[in-house]
Formats: sequence, C-alpha cells, structure tokens
Amino acid sequence: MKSGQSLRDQYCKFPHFKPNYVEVTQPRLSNPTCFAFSVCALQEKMIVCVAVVGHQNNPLYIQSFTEADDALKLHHIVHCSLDVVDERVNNPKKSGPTLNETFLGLLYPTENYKVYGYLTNTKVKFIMVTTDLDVRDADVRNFFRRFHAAYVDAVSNPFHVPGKKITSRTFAERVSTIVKSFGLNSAG
Amino acid sequence: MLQHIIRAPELELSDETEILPKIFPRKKKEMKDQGRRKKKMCAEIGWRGKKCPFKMLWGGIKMIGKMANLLAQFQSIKSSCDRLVIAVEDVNDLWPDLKKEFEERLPFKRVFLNNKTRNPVAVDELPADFILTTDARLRSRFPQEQLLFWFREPYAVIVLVTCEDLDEFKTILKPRLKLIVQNEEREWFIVFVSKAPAHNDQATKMAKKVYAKLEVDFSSKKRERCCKLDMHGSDSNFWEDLEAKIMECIRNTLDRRIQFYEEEIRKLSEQRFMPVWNFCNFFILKESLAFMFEIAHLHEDALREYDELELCYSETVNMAGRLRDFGGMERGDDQATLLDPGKKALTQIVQDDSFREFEFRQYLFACQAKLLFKLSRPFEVAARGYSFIISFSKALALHESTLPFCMREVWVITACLALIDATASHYKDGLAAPDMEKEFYRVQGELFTLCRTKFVRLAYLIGYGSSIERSPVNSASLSMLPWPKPTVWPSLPPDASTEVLAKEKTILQESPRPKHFGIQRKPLPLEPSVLLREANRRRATLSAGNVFELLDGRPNAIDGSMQMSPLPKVNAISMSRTYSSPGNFDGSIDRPMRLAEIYVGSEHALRNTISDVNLWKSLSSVKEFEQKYLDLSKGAANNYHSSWWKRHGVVLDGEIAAVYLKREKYELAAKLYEKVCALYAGEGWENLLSDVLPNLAECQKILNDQAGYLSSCVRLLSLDKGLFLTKERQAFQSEVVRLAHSEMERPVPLDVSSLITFSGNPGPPLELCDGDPGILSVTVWSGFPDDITLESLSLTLTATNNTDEGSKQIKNSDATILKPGRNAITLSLPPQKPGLYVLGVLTGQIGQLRFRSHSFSKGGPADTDDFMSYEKPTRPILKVSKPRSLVDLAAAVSSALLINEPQWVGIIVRPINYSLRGAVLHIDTGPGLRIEKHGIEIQKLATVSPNAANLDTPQSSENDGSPVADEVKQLTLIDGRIELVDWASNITSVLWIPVRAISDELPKGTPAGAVVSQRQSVVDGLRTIALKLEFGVSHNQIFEKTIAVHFTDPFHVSTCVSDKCNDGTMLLQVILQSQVKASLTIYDAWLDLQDGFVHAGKGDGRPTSNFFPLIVSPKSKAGILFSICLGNTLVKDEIKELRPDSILNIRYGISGCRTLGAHTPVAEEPIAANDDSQCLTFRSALVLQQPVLNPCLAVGFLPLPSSGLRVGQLMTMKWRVERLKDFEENMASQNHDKVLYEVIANYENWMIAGRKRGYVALSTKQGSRVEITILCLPLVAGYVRPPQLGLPEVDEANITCNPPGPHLICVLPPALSSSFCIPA
Amino acid sequence: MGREVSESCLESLLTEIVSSYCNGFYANKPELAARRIEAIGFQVGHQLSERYTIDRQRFTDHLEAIKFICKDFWSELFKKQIDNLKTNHRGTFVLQDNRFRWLAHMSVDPSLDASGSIQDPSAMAENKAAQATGMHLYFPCGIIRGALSNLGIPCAVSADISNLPACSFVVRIKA
Repeated sequence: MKSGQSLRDQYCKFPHFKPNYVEVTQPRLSNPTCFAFSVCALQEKMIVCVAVVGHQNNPLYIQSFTEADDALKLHHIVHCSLDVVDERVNNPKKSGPTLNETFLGLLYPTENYKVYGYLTNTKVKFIMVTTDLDVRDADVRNFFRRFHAAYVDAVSNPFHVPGKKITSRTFAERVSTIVKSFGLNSAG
Repeated sequence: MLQHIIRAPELELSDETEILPKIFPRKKKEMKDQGRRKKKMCAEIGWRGKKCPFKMLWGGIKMIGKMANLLAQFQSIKSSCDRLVIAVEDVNDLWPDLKKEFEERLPFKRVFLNNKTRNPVAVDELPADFILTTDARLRSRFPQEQLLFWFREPYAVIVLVTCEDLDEFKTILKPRLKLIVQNEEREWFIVFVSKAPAHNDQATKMAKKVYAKLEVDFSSKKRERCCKLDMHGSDSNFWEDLEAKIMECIRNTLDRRIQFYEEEIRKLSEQRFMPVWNFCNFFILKESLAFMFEIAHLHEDALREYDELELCYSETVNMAGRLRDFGGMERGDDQATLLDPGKKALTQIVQDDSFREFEFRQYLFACQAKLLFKLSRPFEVAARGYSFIISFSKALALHESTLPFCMREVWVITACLALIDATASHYKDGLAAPDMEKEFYRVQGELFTLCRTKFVRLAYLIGYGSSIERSPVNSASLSMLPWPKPTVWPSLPPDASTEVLAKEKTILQESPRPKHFGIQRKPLPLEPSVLLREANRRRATLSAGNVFELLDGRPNAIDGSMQMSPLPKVNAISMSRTYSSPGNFDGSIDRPMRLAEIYVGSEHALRNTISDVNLWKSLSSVKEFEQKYLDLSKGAANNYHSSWWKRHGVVLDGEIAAVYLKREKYELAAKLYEKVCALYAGEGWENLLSDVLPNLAECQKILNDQAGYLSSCVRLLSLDKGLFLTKERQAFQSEVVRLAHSEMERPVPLDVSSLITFSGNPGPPLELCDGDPGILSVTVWSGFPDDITLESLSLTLTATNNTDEGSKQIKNSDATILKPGRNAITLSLPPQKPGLYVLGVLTGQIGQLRFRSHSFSKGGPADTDDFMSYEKPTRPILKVSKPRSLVDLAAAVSSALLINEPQWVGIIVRPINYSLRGAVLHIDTGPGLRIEKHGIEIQKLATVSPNAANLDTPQSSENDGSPVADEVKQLTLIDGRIELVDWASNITSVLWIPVRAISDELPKGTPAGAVVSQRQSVVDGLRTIALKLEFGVSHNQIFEKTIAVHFTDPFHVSTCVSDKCNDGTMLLQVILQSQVKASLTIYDAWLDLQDGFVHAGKGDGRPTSNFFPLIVSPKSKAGILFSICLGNTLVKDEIKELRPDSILNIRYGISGCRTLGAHTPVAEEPIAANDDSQCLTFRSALVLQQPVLNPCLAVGFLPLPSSGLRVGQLMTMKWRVERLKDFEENMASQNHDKVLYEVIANYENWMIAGRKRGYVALSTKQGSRVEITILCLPLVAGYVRPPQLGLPEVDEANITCNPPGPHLICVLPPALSSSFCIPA
Repeated sequence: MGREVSESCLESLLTEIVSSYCNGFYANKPELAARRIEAIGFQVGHQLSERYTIDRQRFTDHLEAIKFICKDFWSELFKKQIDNLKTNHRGTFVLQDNRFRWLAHMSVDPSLDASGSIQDPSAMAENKAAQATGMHLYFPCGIIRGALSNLGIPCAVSADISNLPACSFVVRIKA
C-alpha cells in the first residue's frame, strides 16, 4: 500500500488526471494502448457482487469483487433484494410481461447501484450487483446466461451436495472471468 | 393555427367552417353543428363583428410583457372562483324571495356530466353558484380574457319571470323576454313563478293560462325551455325539473367549451417543435381546460390534462440550444414544494417565456397530487411521488454545481417527509385492494429509507459519523452514495476556530463501541471515498474544476485507481494528458483542510442551505440527530412490515435496536435483535447473522437472560468456523462453561443441536438377544473450539416397531470429555425389549446445565445417497431379537446306573447358536444322591450317535467309556458351581459328573412266579439333579432344568425251590436278571441261609456246580442252584440271634460304558485295573419258607362272591379253620378248645370291620372246623393283596393253607354315581 | 451441452450398477438395493433437470413441468419423447414409453417366451425376469423423481412393465 499512498498524494496534487481518464475511456477497452484507463473504467463500472441463492433463500455462493472489507454490505444488499424477487414471483401481475422469464431484470433502481435478478426453473436465484448505472439489458442477460451455465456445471459435480454451499474452486474462477468480461464483449 | 390566425386577420367564420374539414375530418352533420357551435362561441363572448376575436386574444398573449400579468390574473382567477356559475336573469324581482330555496338545492347531488370523450360521468356532488346577471362579477370583462378564462363564465342562465294576466304578458313581458333571449346566447331557460294563492281558483287558472302561453312562445319541440313554480301551492316536481334543466345547460356548455379548448390545444401542440413555439400559451390553455374539468368535478379528465402537460413540458423543457435557468436558487427552495401548487406564484416560475424546471415540475406534480387526493388515491400519489423524487433528484444532480451545498440531499429529505405526511394522512386502511395496500406501504417505506439515507449522509458530513451505526444497511446505502459535488467545497468560515477545536476534541474522543466477546472487526465504510481527500480535491480544483465536474461521475473512481497497481504507464499517459488538458491548476492549491475543518465548513454551508428549522434542529446536535434517525428508521421499518418487503423491515429493526442498545434500553433492543437474528438464521445468512448475534448476546447478558444468552452463545459457536477467530469462539465457549457452572435460577435445557451432533456407527446395527445388555458405541461431533467436559451424557433409543412405549434412555454418568470434532463414545446398554431401535435425542450436562441435541450429524460419513433422497438417515443401530431358547441341558444316558456305586452322570450342554462363554452351571443333587469328590469331566459330544460308537468299539470303553473323546477337560466343583470351559462355549459338550446314589435297604428277592412290581424298584431307584446354567454376557441368561437319573441294582433276584428230595434236601434255584445296560460278570456267589436251613453238603454256601465266572449280558437272566436242607433250630437257638432271612452274596464285575449307562464305578483316583478293584459285591435278601411238615390245622380261604369287588363296596371274607389231627398235650396251654386268629391286612388298601383278632372255639377233636368271617371294604382299585388270616399261637410249620388264598385280587374302581369317602 | 456419452457404455454401466447392488452389496435386502439405485437416479435427475432447463421459461404449473419431462427432458436422455401421457387431474400422471431404450436390449429368460401358458416354471421365470427388469427401472424412476423434485414438485414415481420393452412410469405428486 506504500506505493498506493504515494500515488494518492500525487492525485491530490494533480486531481485533474482522473477525469481525463474517464473521458478517454468512454470507448471501452477497444485498443490495448489505453489499458490503464480500462482498468480504471472497470473499477468504476463494474460488477460489485454476484450471488447464488438457493430455493429456500439460503445463500449458496456469494462473491464480492470490491476491496475486501465491505463484503458484508453486499451480503445485505443481496439478501434484501430477495424481497423483490419474492414480490415479483408471488404476485405475478406486478411482474407483467416477464411473467415466467428467468431473467427478472432490474430489481433495485437505486441511484448509485443496480441489482439484477435471475430466477431459474429450479427456484435458484442469481443476484448481481453492479455500480454501472448505464448497463445494457442485453449485457446483463448475456452475463446471467453464462453464469447459469457455470452454475449448472458446478452443481452437476457428483461431489456437490445439493442445497449446500458451492465450494468448487473452478466455479469461482469461472465466475470471476465471467465477471471480468462483463460488458466488454458487448462493446468489442 | 395560432400563427395562421394572426397572419390572416380577415378570416371569416364561414371560411373557418370551410377549413374545418381539413383539421378534423368528420361527418357532414357534425361539421354543421361544429360550425354552429363556433358561431355560438363568438356570439357568447358577445362579439358581433365579422372579425374573429381570437386575433386580439392571441395577439395579446404574443406580447411577451403581458404574459406575466396574464399568468398572475389567471392564478388569481383560479384561486377566486372554484365553482360552476349559474347566472340568474331576474326579470321581475323574484330572486330575493326565491334565492333561499334555490340555494338550498346546492350542491347538486348525483348528477351526470359528459367528460372529454362525451361519456357520462356520475358526479356525486356538484357545487355551483347562483349569480345575478347584474352582479359585478359577471360584468365588465375584456373579451379576450373572457375567452381565455372561459371556465369561469356562467354555464346556464335562468330567467325568472312572473305574470298575473294575459294582456300584461302579451304587452310587456313577452317582448322583454324575447329581447333577453335574443341577446342571450348562452344556455338559458325560463322559470315562471305563479304567485296565485292555492284557494283562489281564479288566479291559479289565470296563471295556468299565462304559463301555457309562455310555453307556446318560448319552448320548442327540440328543447323544452320553461318550467313553472307555484309559490303557494307546493310543487315538488318543479325542483327536479329545474335541476334537470340546469344540468342540461351545463352539459351543453361544457361540451362546447371542451370542444374549443381541445381544438386550440391540438393546433398548438402540432407546432410543438417549431422555434416559435411558446410553452406558455399551451400551458394556459391546458391548465384552463384542466381547471374547468376540476370545477366540474371531472377530476380524471383534469388529471389527464396535467399528465399531458407534464409530458409536453419534459419533451420541450430541454430542447437543444436554449440553456435555461434551472431555478432553485432562492431562499427556501431547499424545502420541496411538490405538494402545494400555490407555494410560488406562476409569475415567479416564468422567466423570459420559459418555465423554470425546478419550480414548474414541482408545481405540476403538486397539481396532479391534489387531483389524486380528490380522487382519494393517495397510494398513487405516493408511488408517483417516489419516482418523481428519484428523477427530480437526478435533475438536481445535474445542476448540483450551481445549487447550494447539499441542496439535493436537503430537497430529497423534505420532499420525502412532505410526501409521507400527506399520503399517510389521506390514506385510510381498506381504501385500496390488499395488494395495492401492500404496495403503498412499500413505497412509504422506500420514501422513509431514501430520506433516512440522505439525512445520515448530511449528519456524516458535519461529523456525526462516530454515532452512526456502521451496519451493513448504512454501509450499503452510504458507501455507494457519491459525495455531494459542489463547485467548491465549503471552506472554513473565518471565526470558526472554536468549533474546529470542539470537533477536533470529539474526533479524538470518539472510539468505536467495543463489541461483546472482544470481537474485533474492521468497521464497515460509510463513505464512498475518504472524505478528507475528496473535500481537499474539490477545494483544490477551485478554478478549473467545473470543466470536468460535469464529466466526473463517480468519486470512488479515484480509490479504484488507487487500489490498482499503479503502473508507471498511467503516470506517463496522465502526464501527457495534463499538458493537453485545458487550463493549468498549479496556482490553486492551498493548504489541505483537516477533517474537523471540513466538518465545520460543511456545517456552516448546510446552515445556509437548510431553511427548514425543524430539519436544522434535528441536525443541530448528536442527540437530536439520533432521535430523528430513530424516527426515520422506525417509519421505514413499520411500513415495510406491512408490505411485501419483510426483510427490509426486519433489517431496519436491527438499526433501531442498535440505537436502543446505545441508549441502554436493552429489553427493546433484545426483542428487535431477536427478530433480525431469526430472519438471518432462518435463511442461513451466517455472515450477516454473525454481525448481529453478538449484540443480541450482549443485551441478553446485561438483561441476565441466561437461557437466551446461552442459546446465543451456542448459536455463535455453531456458526461457520471461518466467521470468527479461534479466540473469539473460545470466548463463546468459556461463557457457556462459566454459566453452566454458576448456579442459575430457572435452569432450562439448552438445545445444542447445531453444535453437538451424533450418529450411530456406520454398518449393520448391534444385534442382541432378548435380555442381553450390550455396549453401544456412537459418534459424537463437537463443535466447540476446545475440549469440553460433559458431566453426564445420555442417549435415548426409540423403538421403530412399537412407538407406544416411549424412548428409553441410556446413560453414561461419568464425565466425558469431548474433543473438537469427532468423538467415539461407548455407552453400556441395559437389556432392551425386542425390536429395532434408532437413536433419539442426546442429552447431557455441562456443569449444572442440562443440554439436549436432536440432530444427527451430517458431518459424519453418512452414506451418500441418504441425503440425496432428502430423508433423515434413521438407520437402526440396535436390534434386539425375540426371546428364544438359547441352550439345552439333557441327560446323556437314559438307562439305569448302578446304585450305591460311584457312577458317571452325563449332562449334555447344547448351546443353540449362542455363546456360553463364561457360563456357570449350578448343580444341586436331590435326596439320596451325592456328588463324588473328585473331578468332573467335560468333553465334546460325539457327532456320531454314542451307541453306534459303542458297537464299534466295545473295548474302547474300558475305564471310562468316552467315544471320540478328542478333548477331555477336568473341572472342579466349587460349592455346587462349575465354570464351563471356553472351547465348549459354542459346541455341544457333555459334562460327566461322578455321583453315588445311596439306598441303605437291601434289595429283596421275590419268590419266582410271583408278579414282580417293577415300578416299585424303578421309583425308589430314581434320583434327580437340579441344574441351573447362568450364561450370557453378564450371566443374565438363566436356564434351569431338573433331570432324573435312574439307578438300580445290577440284578433282580427271584427264587424258587426247584426240587425236593426225599432225603430232605432241596434244590434252591436263584434267578438273576440283569437290570443294567452293561454286561455283568459273576465271579462268585454264596448264600447265607436263614435259620431253619442249612447248606447241604459242604457248608460253604457256594452253589452246587462251579461254573464261574458267569457272564450275564444286558437284560438277560442267569440261574444258580443251591442245595439246602432244613436244619434243626433248637441247637442254634441260643447261640445266635434269629436271622429273619437269608442273604445272597454275589461278587461280580461290570463292563459298561458311561455313555450307555451303568459302568465300572469311578475310582477316587485312577488306579491300575486289577481284579479285586474290579469286583463288586451285591447282596440281596431272600425269604425262604419252611415247608409244612406235620400240619394240624388247615386254613381255607372261601371263595369270594363272583360279582367281583368294588371300591367302597362292603364284602365279607371267610376263612375255614379245620383241625386235621387231634390236639396233643405237649402243646401247653389252658385253652385247648380255642384258637387265636388274627387278620393281617394292609390298612391303606382295606378297611376291616369286626374283630380283627380273637379266639374262636374249636374242639380238639380231629375234623372239627370253624368259619371266621369279617366284613371289609376295599379302598383302592387295582390288584391288591387281600387280607390274610394268621394263627399266631400255632407254629407255621403246623399250618397248611388249603385251599390257599389268592395272592392278589382285583378291585374295580367305584361306580361313578356312588359317593363314598376316602380316609385321609 | 457439448459432451455426450456412448449409449452402450451407459447401458452397461446401468446393468453393472444394478447387478453390483442387487448381487453384491445388498444381496439379501433387495428393497434396500432398490432404494440406493433409486437414490442414484434421483441425484442424476436432480442435476440433469438443472442443466436441461437452462434458458427456458419457468413452469407455471405441474402439467408444464411434466410435459417438459415428457418432451425435452426425455428426448435429451433417450432421443425420443414419451409416447403417451395420461393424468387424472388429481396429481397422478402416467408416462408411457412404448420402447424404453434401457429395456430395449434387455433379454430375459427364454422360458419367458412360453409365458402365454400358465405352467409354473414359465410363470416363475416370468416374475423372476420381472424382478430383474424392475431393478433396472428404479434408476429411471429416480431420475424422474429427482428432476421433478428439483423443479419444486415433490412426488413418488413408480414404474410398471406391462410388456417389454414398453414401460410406463406413474408419477404421484405429493400434495
């Protein structure tokens, strides 16, 4: 963190750097030259947390992608978002057109982060929290599709106990790659 | 159209009608009355000229300057008149006395109006005003405003007339009316009032006439324009008539005006995107229409108008090009005005012909809200309001740089609060459908939450951060909420040094509240990025900040880039960027602010921003802040509770609880925390649970709720190990142990199912026989971090087959120590009822604390498909089989053994597939039997049948005939107990016991030919051995049996005198019958004779012929001859005592096998087999009868009655005594002629009546005879010896029995009917 | 769903499972063996249902789920759909497969051919064969049960072999 500290001071001195990045990085990671910016962009427009919640609303897998110490708040967000899922599923007329679609769409229209939901046929819920405020719906759908595939492979492992937490490392790796590539492929 | 009108001033109405088809293509007829309506419109305004009035009107509006005051006027009118106006043309001063009655009709009830789409709408109440046409309010208006504010023009005109006689009507009234009606272009009708009193028929008739005339003149077929009111004769249906007419007028007017407005609006909206477009006109038209709907109580339509207006505004508000003033800069703008439209005059909103977004959007929403409330749809207000606030706060965010510091937050707070109050006050339960209601409460909750978040953010900015709970909720809502982005971060006011110091102090003092159990956690962040850096950055960017403030979305991007490994590349590029970017900033960096200064600075800035005193008050001190915070949280929670979103509610309860905890209201806190924990635990969100549960535990500890505290500790321990450090978990455990060993009032059993689990060992269940105890071993899993000692531990077994009798408990009372993880526990199992058993519940004690655990351990190696089928693995762990015979004892030999000799008794011990390990046999011999001292032998029983073995090897059984005796073991009998050997525990074995049967009376020989009662000898040869086998794991199984062993003499002896020689010697034949199942060898035999007999020849008493040894095979007979003769008794008389009978002595040997029966007696110690050891002697008593030599008396038994004898039947027995020869003198006695007789009988068999003994006279002469008769009664059935007559005084040698009495006689059983008595 | 496995392998595996459970582990307790095999099937079905319901809409009612089993699920497993679906509308469904692949290659005791006659031996052979095939049917039963229960429909599934290789599965939904 030492270097980070020094760098921070630097930013305090030249506070105008960062916005320039942002300006530049509006076209997302297309050319490798502006890798640094893309990093920065990822940092700010990123998936903060993904979770798998079992059919009894018990967490099966929850992974946050922020700086470690505030995972708990993401747990909270995911847990509360279950309220919305329940509401959508229990009184269908609210959910309207997307009646039985697995993709539940945006659960939380908070002004600083967004929560998306996905409910499989087996009543397993996928929750995704992102700070990216202008996400394309297609990207999210795509993300969930890949995530679901990963999940299925994970639970098809004969050593996985249904209804228990998913502890497979390969699953974790796959998820992190999916998360990293979120939104990028759509731009490219 | 507008422009068009203005460009072509010379537009004729006729032309207009031509143009109409272009605008709305309609059917011809409609066009017609369309045109007519237009005419009327112009007429109504009272414009007669050929020019169209609109020119002037819109011309007027075009003049920008005027618009403001038009708006002002508009608003004033709106506020002044809010009812429909009905004009009253009072022709002959009737109004004053009618006014009251008319106004009693108001407001009109249940009327039907046509809405925009010409559909009738029921209006419950329609308020209206009656205004005289002479009233100032209806006079003197500029035409244009008249048209513009048309909604306030009268909707109907009532002409009040009266008249007494026809002439007057014709001459005066009619022309006047004509005139009025001509000029009157509005909807009108005439009310004729007759003053004629009821009794005066004349007058009434007249009135009728006049009215008839009136009708003829004024009402047409199409429209009926007259109605009549009798002032005296009450006329009820007049009023309905009146109302109907009024409504008719209103409807028509409304239609027409709506038509007009619609048209104008349509024309305007067509050119919405032209540069000349002026929203203001549109607005005025729209709003006028809306207002007209409103006063007509057509709220739905009004609302629709406003919605369209808003839509149009949002379309046009930020059209490209013109950068408008946003507004919101004035004092007090921070308080949301989204609920009262009149807060600001429209004139203030408008600014050079454009409406300021800030105010106007709120204004629009306020109007909509008002209507919605009128429609009693508060839930819709709430829903719309929430989304409005969200979108509006986005708008505020866009202009944040220009607005005052934190304006956005403050506005949102006030807006939420206002909305909440308004909707809540308007909302009544049951107003909406249940799901709508839930939705309403949800929105309320959302509003509260939003408000709460912003409020906390403000509090944090002014340095209350330390008193804000760093809970997941707050962190989630705050740490992702960007900081406010003022152009310049508020700097420190000059004279604030003291405040700064104060803040400094608080900052230094503040310390995070220590969590219970000494749990250390990094507090969750409440800020998106470090405030210090953020603020300084914004201060530093004084000059050129704005350029990128607009672009800069998210401050936490900085942290992001900080956290990334800072590549040199970044700097390089950024450098280059620096120079390329406009402006340079070197100048503008001054000393960075300290945190306290930031706090103070923003506090001052906020004080300037916030105009609401209450809001400021609640931010003025930590205490106030906490109160407000609590209220908001409560509000949110309660609303969420009555909505779908239970979790939100419960989580917020947790926040409330945190405040209570801080305020030391522990009961409340505990109650709420329990709810939260229940929620998290119920759905298994352990991370969140682990954050809250310690607080609950703390409350419980302080409240001294030991049970609760214990269970909390247990729950903490049973959470995922990764969630706590080891030392924290150890702290939990130590708490549990401490409490367990302290004495607690009201000790309650603690459920540790989550912590201590148990399972039977895998594999087949333990199998036990009925009544056997066992050792049950189970696996117990302990979740405690350290070893824990259980003072006692017990498990219940539940029988699966019969549930009626409950579960048994097996205890292991001594203290056991559980290691963390897996423990193997063995419990001693008392005998159980037969059946299958599964594990029930585990209970035990830690100190005084009783605990119980219901859960089987999943952690154990459960067989993997049990959980797949999702049923609890209830494997039986114990199987107790039904009671059965486990062992059998039997006598090895059935045949008789030698009596009075030591013999082997064999006992077969046969286990029935049950181990006899350590079994003990108790042997108890019955009377007349005793066990020899020396060793008992046990041997494996031959598989082949013993007698077969014997046949094969007769000689093999020389000393002790044991068949295939592979193993023989000596055992010793200790006070009647023998322990069986182990090798015999599972095989059938035979136990040889040396015994000796004792009987001291000599066996008696019997005269040959006499019936020998074998039974008798069998019975007294019988002996019993009582056996009791104790076996089983703990000698719990007992098998008792008494076996009979039969002993006998080697021979049964019978004799007969085979021959009587004339020299007086007799040959005595002795028949020996072998009684045993072994071959006997007779070596020698001699006879000791009784008195009166002597051996003939050499007197050694040996048999005549010498053919010894004589072998008698089993069950065969042998005979021996002795020659004897009578000897004189007189000689030996005094030498030796009388010998009653003679004794037969036999020396014999036996060669038998103990597996068969009688055999050689067992030696005390095995000695060499020499003869005399082999030889046994057998003595038997014989009775020899002296032959009768000189009979003098004869006793004859007279035959019995042929009928036969019966038990209980008297019968007589007769004997005849006869003197055979004369009586000699030598027989000394005084009574010669008498004979003493005696009846000898076995009194068990016979009852004798009469004299049993006595004298009978018998003459001494030869041939004299006498009969002796006695009555007797047989007592037992069967062959019995009859009574016998004896003559005691006569020597037996002198008595012959002729004819002899029978040896036995047959007695029949009693006749069934007869009753008799048997002597006891 | 890229990877597939050869059908013959699968069938021999199934027969192996059956034989090893029936003759090996639980030779004396057939009901236990059946339970185990069924449980294996349950797990397989549980996981397959997860996979085959990817990107398809959620089922609104039981019938939809059952139809899914009959159509897509079955054809994923056996390259053919269930031939006939019957139901009493009280939660019992009968799925009939006229040529159940896993029974197609199963040869039973030759004396079964004479099973038209009622001689003892043939009858015995018949029900012996029936037992054997029955054992093989616990696995698919488990699959169906697993799939349905994962779709949130707890049920009991039993199979019935009227005449080979046709076989029908009876699904009883636990209300």
